[in-house]
Amino acid sequence: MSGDDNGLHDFVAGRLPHLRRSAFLMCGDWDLATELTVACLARVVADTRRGVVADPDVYAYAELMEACRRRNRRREHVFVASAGAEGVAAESILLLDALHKLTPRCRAVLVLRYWDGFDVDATGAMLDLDDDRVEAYEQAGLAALERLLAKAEVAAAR
Amino acid sequence: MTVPLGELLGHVLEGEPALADEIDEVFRRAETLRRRRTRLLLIAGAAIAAVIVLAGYLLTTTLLPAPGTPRSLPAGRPPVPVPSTIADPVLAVIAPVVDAAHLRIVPRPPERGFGWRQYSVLAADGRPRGTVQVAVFARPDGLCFPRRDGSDGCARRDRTGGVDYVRYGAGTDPDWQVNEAIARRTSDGRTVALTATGERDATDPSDATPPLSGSQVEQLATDPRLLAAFGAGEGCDGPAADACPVFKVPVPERR
Repeated sequence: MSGDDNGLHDFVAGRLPHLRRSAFLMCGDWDLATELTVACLARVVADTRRGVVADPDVYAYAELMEACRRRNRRREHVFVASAGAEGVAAESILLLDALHKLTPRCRAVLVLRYWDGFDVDATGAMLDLDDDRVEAYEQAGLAALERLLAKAEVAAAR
Repeated sequence: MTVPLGELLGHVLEGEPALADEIDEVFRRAETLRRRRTRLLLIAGAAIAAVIVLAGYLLTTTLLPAPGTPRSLPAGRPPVPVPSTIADPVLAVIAPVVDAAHLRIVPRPPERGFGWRQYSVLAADGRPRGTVQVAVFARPDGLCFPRRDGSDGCARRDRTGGVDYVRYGAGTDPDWQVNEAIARRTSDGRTVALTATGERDATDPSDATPPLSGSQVEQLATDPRLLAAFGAGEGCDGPAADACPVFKVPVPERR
């Protein structure tokens, strides 16, 4: 992607919605997700203009995941439904709740692999992990998510 | 999980709020970042420059002597005092007499020591015309002025304005023609010897004659300003005598 502003504008316009969703899955709050995404993309734009960004996608997701990880050092139950989200499905709430009980690294791996669709190699580049560690976090995350969802379903059935 | 996680996660995003001016906000913040980084860079550059200047100043003041610091002198000797308006008060007394003879007088290295000065005299065309040497001594107990013919005994001295003096002629040696005067202030015994020596090995015989006449040498030696031009403690006495000029007619140590 060239450093000219048209290219940058197209990049920002195209990536912002996706990045914001990934940020929401990481932190559970649309306002916070928006703030983190805007800040991340501003750094991408500033650094691209300086000519220090090799791959803006990897750079953007890496910056975003790191920002989300710093904001979520504790496994907080922080799901906040958006103002217009009337009738958000109960299953979605349970899933988001379970997602946020995972460690930030596990959560990030699952979001990048299953929501954003990045392969192991790209996910490792974004999170500064080698492939083995990515797969380990992925397996652990999936297993934990299944356990949490099963427990929640049992609790909801009672 | 029987349903793909990705599909499940998609349902979680229902109720996603619409974007407002976030795209513009991205570029506004990028500009703010750029200005902040530029400011930090300038501050860092100024700080580095300040550190370099300070380090240079500290090194300079530590390694170099302050201007006006006197060269080291033998132990116990105070530095030669110099009036703030005149760099060489002795030269200031002698120069007008030399100038009147249409000659020039300049310090001759080594220019000075504790109790003495020496100068070169030049003709108007820059030709060397000899030297002038002046030294002061402490003779509080009196002085036996050497006789002109070198015989034993004290010379008959003349007196003017509280100063006893004897003038010595150039002599017959064509290679060492010197006009000299020795003058002693009677109030405290402070004594000055002044010599004007013609240029040695001069091709022109006239250059070998002393640049100052006998009367001029007498005039200068008896000028009270000449003794006053030296520092109060200066003197070619004791250990300092070894560094003083050698006079054709030496000033005796004791009466």
